[in-house]
Amino acid sequence: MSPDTDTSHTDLPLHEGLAFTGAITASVTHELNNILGTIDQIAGLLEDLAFTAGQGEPIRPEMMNSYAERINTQTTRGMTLVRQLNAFAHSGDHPETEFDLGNAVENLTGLMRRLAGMQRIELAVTLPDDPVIVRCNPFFLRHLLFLALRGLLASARQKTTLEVALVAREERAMITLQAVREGTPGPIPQPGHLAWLASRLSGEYTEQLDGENIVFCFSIPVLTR
Amino acid sequence: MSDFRVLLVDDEAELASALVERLEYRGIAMDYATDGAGALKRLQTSAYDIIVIDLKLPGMSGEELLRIVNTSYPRLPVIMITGHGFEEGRGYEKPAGVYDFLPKPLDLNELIKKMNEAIKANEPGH
Repeated sequence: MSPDTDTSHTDLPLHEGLAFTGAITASVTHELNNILGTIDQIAGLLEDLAFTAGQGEPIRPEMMNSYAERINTQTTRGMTLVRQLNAFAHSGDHPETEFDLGNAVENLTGLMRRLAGMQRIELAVTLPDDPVIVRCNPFFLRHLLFLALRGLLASARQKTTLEVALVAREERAMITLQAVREGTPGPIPQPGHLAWLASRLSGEYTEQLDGENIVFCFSIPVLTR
Repeated sequence: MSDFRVLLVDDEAELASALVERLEYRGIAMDYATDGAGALKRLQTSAYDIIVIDLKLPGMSGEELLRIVNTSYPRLPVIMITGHGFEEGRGYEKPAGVYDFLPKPLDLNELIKKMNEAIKANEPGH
């Protein structure tokens, strides 16, 4: 039975895939709403400045410049988020394709920074200089990383850094996620989903406790380097 | 001009900062904190007429902060704000101890109106 005709697990990943997409979209749109709200308030400050000038007060160029800079900062932040969300949306275009694993890791972690921030956890990402080309389903890869990251975030101590690293070694690439654990965490939730996704990606994962840390590793064959 | 003092709690520092500037321009005394712990510190050292709390805060959630405020400062009126959407079929039920609940982006005039109403409703004999 091929993976595409095996329906025994189809419903579960379909629902989970939608839930994953929803979680990412909800988080990003929340942040975009905050960005637009900030720009809206800064526009209000400009209106206040214009009103004051209309009352005969001198125009203060330094204030105008300050507001323009603040709008630029928010615009850049918003454009980065939109670019990340667009790349994420296109990860479902093809069931299998060649792509740079580093870009995919950067994309998913970028989208999850706010979710981590709400837990007061920083994400630190280390990527190799060269592209790491793999051939698999880019959406499933992001989904697997999302489940692993969400599980680690639930077990991680607040005000710590969760380290994400991608290393390519000969024929395989290894993605390592390492968090400082809070108490004694249980296993990362949804191991069935992780195993299903890992098998679809022709990859393998392990999860282990290492002193104060909880470490998740996922390895996948590299196409070329 | 208003003569009340507001504590705004929002983790979006830039948004909070712009909102504070606009409200101060209108004569409202403002302080802000970007998380629940910071808000509680300010409440211990300053007196406020009203607190405006974002529902989604890092660490201690807005709802947790609300519970503490309701318990420790029962006379302090609370307005909740959020840019958060809700699960299909589930709206947000205004919790006890909240005067009103406003969506982000905030309409400044609506916020000022609600703050005035909440403070008046909280006055003795009202």
